[in-house]
Amino acid sequence: MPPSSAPFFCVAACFLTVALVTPAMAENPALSIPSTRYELDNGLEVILHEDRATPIVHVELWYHVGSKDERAGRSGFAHLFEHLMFNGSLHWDSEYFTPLQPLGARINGTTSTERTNYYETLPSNALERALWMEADRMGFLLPALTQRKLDNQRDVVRNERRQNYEIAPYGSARKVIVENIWPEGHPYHHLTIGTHEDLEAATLDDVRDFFNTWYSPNNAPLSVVGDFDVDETRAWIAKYFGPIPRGPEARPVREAEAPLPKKQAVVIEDDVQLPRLYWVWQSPAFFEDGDAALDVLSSVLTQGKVSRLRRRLVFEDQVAKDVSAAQYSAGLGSTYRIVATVAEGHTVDEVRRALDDEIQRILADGPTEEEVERSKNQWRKSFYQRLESVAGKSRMLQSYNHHTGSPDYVAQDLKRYVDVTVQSVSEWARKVMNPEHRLELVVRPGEPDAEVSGQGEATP
Amino acid sequence: MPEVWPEMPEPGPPPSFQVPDAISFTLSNGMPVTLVQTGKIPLVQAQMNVRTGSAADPVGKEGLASFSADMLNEGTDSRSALELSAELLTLASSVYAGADLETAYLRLSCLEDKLDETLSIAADMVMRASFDSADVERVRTERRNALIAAKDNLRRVGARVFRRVLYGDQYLGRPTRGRQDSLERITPDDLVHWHARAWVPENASWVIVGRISPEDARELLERHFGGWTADHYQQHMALDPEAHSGGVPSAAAVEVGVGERTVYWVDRPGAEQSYLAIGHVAPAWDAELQAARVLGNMVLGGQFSSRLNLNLREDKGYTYGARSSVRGYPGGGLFMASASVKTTTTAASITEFLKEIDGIVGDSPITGEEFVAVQGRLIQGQPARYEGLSGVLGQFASADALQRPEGWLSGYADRIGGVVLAGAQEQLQSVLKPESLAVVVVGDYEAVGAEVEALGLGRLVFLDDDGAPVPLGSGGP
Repeated sequence: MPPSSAPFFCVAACFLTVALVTPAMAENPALSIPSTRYELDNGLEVILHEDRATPIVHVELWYHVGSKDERAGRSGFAHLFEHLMFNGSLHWDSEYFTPLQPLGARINGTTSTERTNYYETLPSNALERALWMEADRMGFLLPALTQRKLDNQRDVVRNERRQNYEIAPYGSARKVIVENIWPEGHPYHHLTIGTHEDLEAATLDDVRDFFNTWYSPNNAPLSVVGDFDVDETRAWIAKYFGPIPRGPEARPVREAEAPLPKKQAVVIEDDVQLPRLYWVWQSPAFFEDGDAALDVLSSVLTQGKVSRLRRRLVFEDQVAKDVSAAQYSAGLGSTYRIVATVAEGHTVDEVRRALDDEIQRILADGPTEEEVERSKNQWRKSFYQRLESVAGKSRMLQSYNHHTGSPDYVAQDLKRYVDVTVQSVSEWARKVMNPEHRLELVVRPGEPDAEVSGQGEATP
Repeated sequence: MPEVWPEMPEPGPPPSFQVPDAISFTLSNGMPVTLVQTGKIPLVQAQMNVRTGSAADPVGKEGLASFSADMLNEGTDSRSALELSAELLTLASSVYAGADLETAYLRLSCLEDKLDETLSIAADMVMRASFDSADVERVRTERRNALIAAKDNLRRVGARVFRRVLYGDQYLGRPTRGRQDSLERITPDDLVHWHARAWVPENASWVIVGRISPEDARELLERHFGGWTADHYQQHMALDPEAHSGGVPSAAAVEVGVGERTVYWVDRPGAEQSYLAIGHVAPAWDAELQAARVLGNMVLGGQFSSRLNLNLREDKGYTYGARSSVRGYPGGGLFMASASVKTTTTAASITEFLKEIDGIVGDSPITGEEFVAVQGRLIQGQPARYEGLSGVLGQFASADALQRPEGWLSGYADRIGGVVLAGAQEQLQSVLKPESLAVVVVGDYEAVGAEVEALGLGRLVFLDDDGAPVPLGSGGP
């Protein structure tokens, strides 16, 4: 599944056109999102990239804290905290949306296992106000915090959980997957949305501790992408973010032991019409060896009717309603997932047999040259598509910065896909899709279990 | 830290923004083309609109327009479905056909130097789709499975039932993708004949967006679509005797906001939330009045800072989000307020919805501050809607599909800016009929049914997932 994020600027678009579709493309393509990068005295890292195509600008902060950094008994807290960032700070103690939305802003925040981000895309004349607003909640959230706000957003988040994990079809699968693929105590063992029990237990002191631990200028790079004047913007950033004191050095979890799980099969019930089969394995972390090869493998398996699994399960045998394969890349370790929904009148056994057959075949013979080239073409094209918006480019800069330490990493990222070969896909398929370390989950129609439910990004 | 924190800065004057210019021309078979030359990446996006959608589906064969369009993705006389899939993937192109309420479409995205080959495939799909009977049955199975799975989603069930309650088996009451019974009634001949009548050049137009020059765009479209004629198609397919009817007029027979308040319940024992859809029939789309209607609704439930969301979410915490919309289509419209709420707050949530709807047309009309905020948001948010090829294509293709008058897009800011508060309020007064609301609940009746009935809203009717009346206990999943 292509990353759902960022775009950038083509320095040499004409060259790219040619390069993208010919074997000569194997040469390192000249993709770049050139940025100005500097640091304030308080440790705030700033990434500026100009793009004047449309008179809009995108402001984004990535706080280096995610659900992986939550303490035991407080699952879901990073995300609950994110909600509170929209309910007022000292100098604007009201809804965050109110001063920005009338100016045409699109505003949101998301929490993942890795980080919490906040952003707004707005007309270029509103940039200074957006910087003021972001600085205020970075520097002055706590003086405006109240028990009522916490109670209200706790209710909202618990409803988000009900909506997206409990009444959502197959929503209960996500919790079962993370709890069985990652060992007890591992930072990914719980869901970003948390449990009702832990959300209930959260206190104002927890909010204050969390803010004081993680929410500081030295733990949240700021990116500004789009139509703006660099000098003027630097002055505003200095004026509004500069006075915020440096916080303690944040220590986000950077690594975690995770022995491969033993082969296991879990069956749960959910309020759904059709059964669904999941096969899940641990896989290499984001940007590690194998990560890109597994993305290409996913396209070989389930992109287009002609792909291996769609062709066999949906097109030919028609035992499945749908099938998808994806590498869910994450910093401490990824998961590789194959998911098939059983078609009406067919059985999990039929789907499992056909799936097993096709996986055995690709493990034995590998993909063909043609299949790998086709998949690589899709991935190459996706890089252009991510260049289309200021929000996309900002996300790319932040993500590369977060994971590799270098915002302008797009050329290297693309090269990972260009370098994928039939051999590397075969190698990584065999390494990862080992039946001895596979979690099989079957969701069958029935009454959902009470407290099984809820990964992915949660938004405010 | 400075002693006095600086005041929140006022925004500067809005940046100047102009909707990109479009170039219009026609192919030799009369097909109109709109080109917007824009962007800096080597991709092209395009859309062919066909002005016949599911609104024209024959009664009993709901889903026909959509099923027929689906078949274009399933192979041509010279390319099997699998070959078509492989060829497009190899080019890194995507071409996809589908249908909505009022239009069908073919969407295309490719690298700019693959446009020629991609258009060639697109033309093959449009003019020489094979409608092979084995493929038809396979797609029927896929569509049947999709309809079954759709029942899992409370919101989708609720939204569909809501439309059926208001429109019965007419127009918006009929699902674009059909129902299980209508799906089984559609024959391969129906699909072929539908395609032969609806997908003709007289009924179609192109919108294309990218760095491509007008000369190249014209030459390539002419090469692949200029020779497309209805005759061409008729020679190819064995046509039924029915004459080509083009855009069949839509049924618009349901009166705006009539009837008494009624509660419609789709039972979901054990559900942690109830999905609520509250509203009534609204007027059809109107070029003059739509801006005022949209602005009025934004205050009520059309954005995060709307009254409904600030009340039900940010004050009460009953939901993750509450919203409303006033939609106008050529043959009718919908006013709908909705949210997924915690089960135990179902009755309380309905009360708050009614309070806000009653209020905005009663003793709490739109304030000046609210009006300026929503008007500003729409006007100043305009540039972002034209970002990238997808943004530009979305705007122009939608204006083309809906046959908006010349200058519609460039006149947007003036249209929104031309509405005054009293005009938006007047539209709310004329569209919203609080006494005629239909309240659809998809949720656990045993848990909260009595509490909702105690609100005394009106009659309570139990419905199944398709919106047909049932006694309690025999419907639902």
